[in-house]
Amino acid sequence: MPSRGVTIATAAAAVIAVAIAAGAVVNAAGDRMPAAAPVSSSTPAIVADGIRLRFDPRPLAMPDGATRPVRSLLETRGAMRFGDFSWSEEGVPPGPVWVRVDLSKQLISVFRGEHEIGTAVILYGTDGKPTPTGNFPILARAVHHRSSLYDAEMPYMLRLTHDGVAIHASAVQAGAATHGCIGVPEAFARHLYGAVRRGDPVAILPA
Amino acid sequence: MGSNGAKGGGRRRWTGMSQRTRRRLAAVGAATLLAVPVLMVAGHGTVVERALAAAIADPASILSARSPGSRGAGALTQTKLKQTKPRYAKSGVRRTPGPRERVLGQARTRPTGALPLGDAGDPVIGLPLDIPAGALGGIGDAAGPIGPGVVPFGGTPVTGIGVVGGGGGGGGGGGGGGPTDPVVPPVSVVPEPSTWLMTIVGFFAAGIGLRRRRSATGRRAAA
Repeated sequence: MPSRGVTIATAAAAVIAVAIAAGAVVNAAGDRMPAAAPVSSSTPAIVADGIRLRFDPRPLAMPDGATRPVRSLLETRGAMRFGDFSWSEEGVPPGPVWVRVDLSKQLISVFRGEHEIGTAVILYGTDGKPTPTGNFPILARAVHHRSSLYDAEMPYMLRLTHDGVAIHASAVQAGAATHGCIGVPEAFARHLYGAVRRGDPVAILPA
Repeated sequence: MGSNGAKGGGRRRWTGMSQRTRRRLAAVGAATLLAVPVLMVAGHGTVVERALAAAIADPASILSARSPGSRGAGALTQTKLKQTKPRYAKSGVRRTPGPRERVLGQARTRPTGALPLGDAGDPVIGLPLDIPAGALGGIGDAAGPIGPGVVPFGGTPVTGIGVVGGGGGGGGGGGGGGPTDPVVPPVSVVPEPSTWLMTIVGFFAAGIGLRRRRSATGRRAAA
């Protein structure tokens, strides 16, 4: 009885389509209901151009309890993985450069003025040799640096403390850590080295 | 034949619907199918809007969204219990309990005098090597100041005894902060005359010994 089969198949397809549509309706309604109010109330939404998210100045927390205003952040496609970084100075006006390291999020963000120009996943010190937290001006820079303490190459070193803690290029892999330094991918370290000057502030938030 | 007849009947029943009913059914089906992607896109749009609305409230939430997460406690340690347990049980070796850190080993030391300086931008590689030549002139002989032209001849000992002073001077001259480790003197390829003499005497002694023994056995055989 192929004709009855066709009828049954058509009916089944219709039922499935209706079920999918109903599910989509319920899903969309569930999503829309709580979101409707805030979206309509906040008139200046975020403007995303694929590279950065621009918004009205918003405070970003710093380690000493203060905040700094931020106007734009780089847009990443979802969560970054170890070794990933993003750098874009396009359309960012000149201004003071500052660096914010968040150990709890394993992230570094480089800002110029109120705009983020670079971000990367970092490595930081082990529990036995923790990375210090607080505000540190960059004490010294070096493209080629070889640690006399650990007998290891540390390219694009930016020294933060007098006992040798620095930001430098290293192999950023999951499950790795440092002796207190902040490790960043080498290509990112090159950008960072070119962007900062001695005395620029680096803020490190605790883990 | 019978089946053919039934098929014909079924088709007649399907086609028996009025034209309008069939059109209506088709329209409803098409509408439901077309509605699915539209609704899904609409639903996705609200999700994005909600994420953006949350992000406006705090830029830190954008940073959280890109973060790989915080490092878990004990993320840097591994015990590999599954693999190591049976192996250790078989060998009878008692393994120290507890996790071990997977970071670099203990700090190593190296002579700092030979290192290029890191702090002054791009270090010139040749600079630390040039310093000992000047330092030798100052250190070379305590008797009196020697002219720079004399220094290379008087101050380049092959044995390495004099180089210790020179190397130390180089480390100090390089301005390397931190302790100056003793520089290992380079071992010369050419041995000292006394070494040569001892080698030659030893060869002679061995030769004489062999000669005497051979002649003694030869005499015994002849006798």
